[in-house]
Amino acid sequence: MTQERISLEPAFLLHQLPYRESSALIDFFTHHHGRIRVLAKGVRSVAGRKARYGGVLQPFQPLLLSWGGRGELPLLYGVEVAGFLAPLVGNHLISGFYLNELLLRMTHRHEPHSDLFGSYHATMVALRQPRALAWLLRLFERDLLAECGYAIDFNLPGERSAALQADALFCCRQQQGIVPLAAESHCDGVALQGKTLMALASGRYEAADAATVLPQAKQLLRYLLSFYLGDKPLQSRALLQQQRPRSLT
Amino acid sequence: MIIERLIERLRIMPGIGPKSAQRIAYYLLDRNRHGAIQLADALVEAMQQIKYCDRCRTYSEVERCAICCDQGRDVTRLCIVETPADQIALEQVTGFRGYYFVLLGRLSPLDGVGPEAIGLDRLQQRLQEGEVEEVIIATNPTAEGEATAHYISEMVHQHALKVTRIAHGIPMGGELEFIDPTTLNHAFNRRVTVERFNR
Ligand SMILES: [Zn+2]
Repeated sequence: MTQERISLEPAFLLHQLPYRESSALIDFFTHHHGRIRVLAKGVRSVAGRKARYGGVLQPFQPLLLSWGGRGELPLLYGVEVAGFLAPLVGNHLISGFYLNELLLRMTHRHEPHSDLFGSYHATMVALRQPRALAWLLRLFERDLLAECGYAIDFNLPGERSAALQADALFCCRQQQGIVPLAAESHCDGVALQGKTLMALASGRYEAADAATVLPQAKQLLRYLLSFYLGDKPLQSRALLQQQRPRSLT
Repeated sequence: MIIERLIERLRIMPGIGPKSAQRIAYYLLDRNRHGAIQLADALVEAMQQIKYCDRCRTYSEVERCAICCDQGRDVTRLCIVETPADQIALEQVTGFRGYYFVLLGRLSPLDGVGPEAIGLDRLQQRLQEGEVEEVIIATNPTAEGEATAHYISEMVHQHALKVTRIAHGIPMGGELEFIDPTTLNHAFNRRVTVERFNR
């Protein structure tokens, strides 16, 4: 793909596959080059020999990456830490895997997604703060869909968004998008209230609306993502669900 | 033909490329045919007869491994490791006298490795037997190892048992300025009180 050598590019590690005895094929999400896969030599420890970049090549940590070389599989030349985020623990850690799995499934290699990188980075920082985990995941899912060309249209047809009533009912269906739902009529997609759409558009919701907004947003995003993810289930979502009766994703 | 096949087969070993495989094949033919035949026999025997212990899942040539058969160990403590090699490493240096459970892997959602693949249903049964009081989680300090530790700790908490996690920190002979930030952060935050040394 690229012949040039790229130096100190902001990136996050998404996934590592062992390769040969001590190497790995690593997928990174980079700021300007989208998702890339590089060959990283000597990064796994073998008897008596320490792994290169040991402890630094971790997911969920901001890195500075240098790589280059001809052909489909460039070589990793260097990794440095770019700031430090506390290690993710518990469900936040599993949610991190979920975000990485979404990126691996939804994005194509070498397609730049610098806005989405910003969103991912912000989500990584927010995952370390005492914030509502589920909502962070929803906002990233929203950004991911938008970046992949499937943005939710918050401007409803025949109605200005200002007129969007918080309690009005809407129906989201794959083919038609989001349309007002007439009283007593049936929605064979996902039914939701105006306040949920407004929360997703603005990124925030009133505390009193949490019990409405969170489940509706989850249903909506899950529904939309399912069209692009296909039949293969998300493994990390399954893991989150097995863990808790009230699932997060 | 036969020799090419031998070279090809030797390449299944980790780190053995075509050149090394050829060198090994010629060496065995030239210098040590007897040793090679013994190796072949040992390989067949091991591959056919070594299975997994029905209790802890480590490699064993009998249904239950020697450690699990040892009645003298502390049944209240169970140590969970990723691999048989990890179990041996701990057994050699820790003086731990409880029992082990070997996951033969780690949870790795992005590789499709879920709880069943690492035997957590079996671990659940083991906990239900009611003898274990403390579960020591000795998975590696990687993202996957931590996710595994978290999942197992949730399971163990459901049984209202004690869960401990092996500490991780600065390796012996290490220098602080070259330690990766995660390790350094962890080592600092989980620092321990230095007891007064009494003679
Ligand atoms: Zn055993």
